[in-house]
Amino acid sequence: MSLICGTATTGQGMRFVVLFLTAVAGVAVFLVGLARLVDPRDDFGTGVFPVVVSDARREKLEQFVIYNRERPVQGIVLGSSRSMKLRPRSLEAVFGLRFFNLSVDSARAEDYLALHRWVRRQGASIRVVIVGLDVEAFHDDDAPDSTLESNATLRTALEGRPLRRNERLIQAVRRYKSVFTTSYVGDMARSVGVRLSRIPSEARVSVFEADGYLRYPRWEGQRVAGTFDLEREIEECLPKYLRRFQGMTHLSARRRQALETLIAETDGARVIVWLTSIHPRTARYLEERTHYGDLLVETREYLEELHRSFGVGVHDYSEPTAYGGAPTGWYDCGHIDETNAARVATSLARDAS
Amino acid sequence: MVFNSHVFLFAFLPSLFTMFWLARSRQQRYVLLTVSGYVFYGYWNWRFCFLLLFSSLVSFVVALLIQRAPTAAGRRGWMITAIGIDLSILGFFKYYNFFVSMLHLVSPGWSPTPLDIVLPIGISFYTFHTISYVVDVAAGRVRATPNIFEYLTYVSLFSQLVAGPIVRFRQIEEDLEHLDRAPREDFMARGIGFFVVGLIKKVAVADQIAEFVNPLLAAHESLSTPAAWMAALGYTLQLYYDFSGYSDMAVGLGQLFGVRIPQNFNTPYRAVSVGDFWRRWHMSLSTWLRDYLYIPLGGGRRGPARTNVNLLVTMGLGGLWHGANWTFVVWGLYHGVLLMAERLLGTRWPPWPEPLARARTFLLVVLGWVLFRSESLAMALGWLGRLVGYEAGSEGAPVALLWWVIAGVAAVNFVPEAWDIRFNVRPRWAVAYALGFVAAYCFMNGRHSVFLYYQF
Repeated sequence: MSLICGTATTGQGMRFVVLFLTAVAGVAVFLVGLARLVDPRDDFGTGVFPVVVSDARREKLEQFVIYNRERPVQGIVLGSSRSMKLRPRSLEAVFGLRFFNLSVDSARAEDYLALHRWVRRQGASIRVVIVGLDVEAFHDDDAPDSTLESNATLRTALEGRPLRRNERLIQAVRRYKSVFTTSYVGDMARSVGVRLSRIPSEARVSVFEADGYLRYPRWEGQRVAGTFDLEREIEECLPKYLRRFQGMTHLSARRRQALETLIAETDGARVIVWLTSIHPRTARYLEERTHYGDLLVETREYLEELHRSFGVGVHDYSEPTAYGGAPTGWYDCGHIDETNAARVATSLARDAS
Repeated sequence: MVFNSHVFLFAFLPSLFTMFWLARSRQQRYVLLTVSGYVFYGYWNWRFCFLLLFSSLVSFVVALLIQRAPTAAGRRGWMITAIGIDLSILGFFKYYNFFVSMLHLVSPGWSPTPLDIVLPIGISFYTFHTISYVVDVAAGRVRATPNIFEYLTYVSLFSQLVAGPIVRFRQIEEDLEHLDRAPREDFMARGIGFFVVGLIKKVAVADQIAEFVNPLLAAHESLSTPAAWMAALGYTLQLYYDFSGYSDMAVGLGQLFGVRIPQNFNTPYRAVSVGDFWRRWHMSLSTWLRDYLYIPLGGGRRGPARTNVNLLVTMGLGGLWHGANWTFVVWGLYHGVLLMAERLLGTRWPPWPEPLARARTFLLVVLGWVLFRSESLAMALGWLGRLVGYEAGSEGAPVALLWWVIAGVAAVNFVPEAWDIRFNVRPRWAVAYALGFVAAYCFMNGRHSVFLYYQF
């Protein structure tokens, strides 16, 4: 303050600026305090209000440790939320191995690598790795997901060394910075709303079972009640998918390298890669507005190359017809329901054998 | 660098603000603002700082030569030289490939090869700054400053360098002359108030509408008629909130450094005629075109026919100023024709009731924005066709956009401009601005979007 209030006249002129800056600091501190109290994403472990947004990366690591302790896991599913519906028990029946679904939200290729390295560090002897590959896993922005950035365990696994002090500091800053977004404020409001309305099943869009399998309590409830509206859900998520593909013009070489590194590090485990699908309406929407069509072709070609170079099993399920997907078997733009997920598992069993 | 970016909000602005008010002398502050202007500009591409400097030096030197020239012919000669250099630079960087493509259409064998030219950001704005300065000196409306840093401060003032408002030297000369004065609390309150209002307009309104409009227009060929209308209305609102938000932020930033930048918007969608619209929309450009193009062409002094020609030329060139594309030219001519029609019919037809006149003007402006936003004339024609149901597709408009449009149309008709707010120095206003700032920051969602007028 003394820096900008050198003289009495200057000080008087700056009074309003100082008031404003103090008020900004006050509002910011209040918001951070509120975020710590409500903690809608379980960032701070407060536990007073319900968590309404899951951090799959953190949750699944904890779940894996418990699940693996009960009986060693022998197979894992990697991928994004589009692979979370792949039920480990179905895969167990096909492969005769104990599976865990380790798919995490908005996974990119470096997530697969980080998760696989972390699993190996747990001493798990993995014999089958199933990768549910999304086209955008190779996004050429090369920017890691924020929840990977803020996950010290996965970052350490990915880097192969503990995080440095400045990296931990940056992580903490990012965590607090994320509070200052409309989505975080919205989540806080939702968390408080859920607490006040006392309807816990409505709290979270998604919950994970012990084996990492995903359930959608809200949507499932709506389906039972007959109020689920797929068209409306698709309408709402189209802009999000558009943002995801805007600016993506080709597959990232760095991210392809991450997947190839994973394959090279599997120590003889069987690797099966399947290309995930999005709802046909979403695909059309993206083809008209982005390079999605070209990117899909490029991804298919790359998978063929992976098959030739590494002997990896690759299955193109980017068209729902490839696994007999039903047009109604979706929850939104890109997330299949139980019916379509079962068909994917059946097709994988057939094609992988 | 853009105003709604982290580097600007948390590094550039606080450090410059602190250094500026720590500096005691006027000259120190000139140097600071000049250097900061070049840092602000060079953050995008440092190479073009040299172009900005060259253009500034030419007009600075020529203005001094004009002032010393003993004859009117000499003054005129120097003025034409400076304008010629400025327009040559602008013409090369902005219009070379456009004219080459035109030549290629007319005579494929004779046209030069198109070049891989990067358009220097803000070149249209700072060229108009330098031209107005030279013309004003030649006309004796302003005395050429012998202080190079005062002049460089004027041209490269970061708040209005990239997308205006197009400020004339004489409009801020007094503030520049008194740049060494102590900060005034009312300036600070207005500065912060304007900036926060502008930031909210940009990130909480314009960018939110853009989330719906951009995807619609990315598939413009399959728009249904309602979707075509929603896209047109949505873009009409997006453009206003984006550009007027930018202008408010520029005004606010100027005030924080003791420089009063003039008004650029005055509730334009409440205009009751197209002429009225141009007195309210991008006022610094429309008055510039009036004073430096329309009036020198003869304005309305040489009979009705010549007046109409002058209107068309002015508006056509005004359109071309926005970009090297026929869509802008046609948009400018469209407004020129509307202005002509108003002149012709205005005296013969009884005036419409205000609400109807407002609605008519708004509709005409919306149709103009279809031309303005289109990437090609084909797209514009297709979009206009879909507005009336010709070859309309099946692509619907999101319901959320409809709500934005309803709220937006109501807001542009009833919510006052930032200029109508009496920004107060009382502490509770500081708290209100702080709440507004943090809310706007939340709407940024960790990203920053470029202002629409940065492309011009």
